[in-house]
Amino acid sequence: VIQLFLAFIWLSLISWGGGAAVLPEMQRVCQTNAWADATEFAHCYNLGQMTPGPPCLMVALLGWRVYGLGGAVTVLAGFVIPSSIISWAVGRAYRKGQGSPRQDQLRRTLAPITVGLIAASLDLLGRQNLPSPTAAGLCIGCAALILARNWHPGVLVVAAAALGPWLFG
Amino acid sequence: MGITSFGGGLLAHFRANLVRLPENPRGWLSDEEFLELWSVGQILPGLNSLNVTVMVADRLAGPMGVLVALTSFLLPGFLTILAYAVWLLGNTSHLAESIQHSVAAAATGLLLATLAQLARSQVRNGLDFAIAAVTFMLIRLAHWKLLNLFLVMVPVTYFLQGLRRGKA
Repeated sequence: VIQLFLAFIWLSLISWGGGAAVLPEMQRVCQTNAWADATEFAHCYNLGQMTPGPPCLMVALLGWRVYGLGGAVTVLAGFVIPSSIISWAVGRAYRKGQGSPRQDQLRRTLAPITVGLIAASLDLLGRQNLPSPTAAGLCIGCAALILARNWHPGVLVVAAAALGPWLFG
Repeated sequence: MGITSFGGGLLAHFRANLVRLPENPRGWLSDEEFLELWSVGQILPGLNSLNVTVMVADRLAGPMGVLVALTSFLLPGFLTILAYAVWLLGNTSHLAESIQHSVAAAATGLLLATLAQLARSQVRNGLDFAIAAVTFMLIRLAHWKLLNLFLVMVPVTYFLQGLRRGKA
């Protein structure tokens, strides 16, 4: 169990740029330790996508496979706690400098970079998630309802889940 | 948010719930503050959404707020995934797959809408647009690692934004 805990602390700390970035490494670690083979790993990942909250909750599923409930809690704690402490400290430090012209300039720096990164994620996700014209239509429809009618994202996702069997069954 | 944010696309959920928008006047953050915290959350290790949750909650309610927010954000999904573990593991059903396809497409739509909204409010001039475009190309065409991208783009952009401000 300790090995599992340490492995996921390590994964949490190297996951610069979001959970999706460490997936290859996570799979490698799981395979070397015989926690899950490639198919089982992909299966866990897909279930994670269908779970409310951050998709990376799938790590708890990996822990469950190995040690049951204890494993699930252990893995999640290892994955969440270290990075949260870091964010907490950085958030505090960042706040102290608020309102200075330097920080304003930093803000104008980060904003366009983030917009570019979001466009990149959209491109990546779109290639993966939109294999058919139906899927692309659903995607554009959802975006249009948010932009033009201010629909709440949660409503759209639940509606999409309900329509799934009919659209893609 | 822990309950409604399925299949990724968290950025859209965060913005809709936290940011002070015309349709959500009770929001806690301005669009700029939000984007700033989001990008800081991306630079830090760990899950972006959790890093942002921690920073926003600490800002609003201190350490206790962080604990409450993390728990309430993670708990619904954690319980769901345990239910999956008990009921579904080792059982690939066609129904589950079709729902997943549909949710994935919708989540992509949420991201598309968010990108459009943020571009409208944050891309204010040619320089902003050029920086966003270069970032996009470095990641998608040149396949840069995120860490390297930040190491190069942040100082360069900071310098350029400084020049621009100097002229204005």
